[in-house]
Amino acid sequence: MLSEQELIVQLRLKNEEAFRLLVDGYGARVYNTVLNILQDATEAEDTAQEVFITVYQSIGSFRQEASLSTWIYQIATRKAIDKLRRKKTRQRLHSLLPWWMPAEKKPEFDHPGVLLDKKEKAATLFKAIARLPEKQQLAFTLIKVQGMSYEEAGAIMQQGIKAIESLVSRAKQNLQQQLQSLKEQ
Amino acid sequence: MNKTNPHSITDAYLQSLEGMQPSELPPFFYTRLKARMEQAVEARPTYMAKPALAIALLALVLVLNTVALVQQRSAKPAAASGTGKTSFDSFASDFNLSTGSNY
Repeated sequence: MLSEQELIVQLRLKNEEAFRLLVDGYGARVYNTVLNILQDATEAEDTAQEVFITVYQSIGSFRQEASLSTWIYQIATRKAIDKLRRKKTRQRLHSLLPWWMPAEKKPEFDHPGVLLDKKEKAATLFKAIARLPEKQQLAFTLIKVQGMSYEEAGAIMQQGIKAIESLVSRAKQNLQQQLQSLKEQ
Repeated sequence: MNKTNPHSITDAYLQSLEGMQPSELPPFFYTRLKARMEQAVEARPTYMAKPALAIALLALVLVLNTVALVQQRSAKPAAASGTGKTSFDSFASDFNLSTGSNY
């Protein structure tokens, strides 16, 4: 078993075995993070692959100011947010020019890890989370869905704990309204 | 009730995530990842992968174009200053053609 430092050294040498170890160690965590943000299994796999390709290509420029895990999560969340932005742009374009930009029909997100009797409520919650402003969505997902600590989420989002607490609190307020209106529909 | 707990609905919905299991990586994730990386390496045109080489090639094309343009422009005045007539006469004599006037 390689230490984190040894793993970084071997990755910089483009050692394939080290890369395999990296994917084995972080693959599920990266996939779950992007899956919870994107709420789409196909896009999540695609994004997770992109994350590891970026890690492989950019490990030389990793300055170790944060842990390897935080750095990988930063890449993962950035890529997932970029995809969300592109998706929102396409949706906006569709509302403006429906004949030019076809609608993306996306089924309700069914998280594979949610218990069967809770799936309906969880789907509504994910729907409401997807409507939150970007930063609130990310902070809330990392902490409340992914189960990270405020410190971890702060390191990933490069924000202080107070800022993260404020984002989660505002996210909860917004969710309260969203869920209320979804419940009334 | 909402006054005492402003997040009651959110908390109720959050309970639906209790006991949630993290998703497993899709099968053959590593195999597909490696295939994608190899494909990317194969598909990348090598000359475009090096910006310095691409810029040098572009500069070379521009220089050759400029040289060709300058040469073309300097050749035109020479053609216009009487050499056209000489070459016409030599062409006519080569093929035994009369260049004299009919009048």
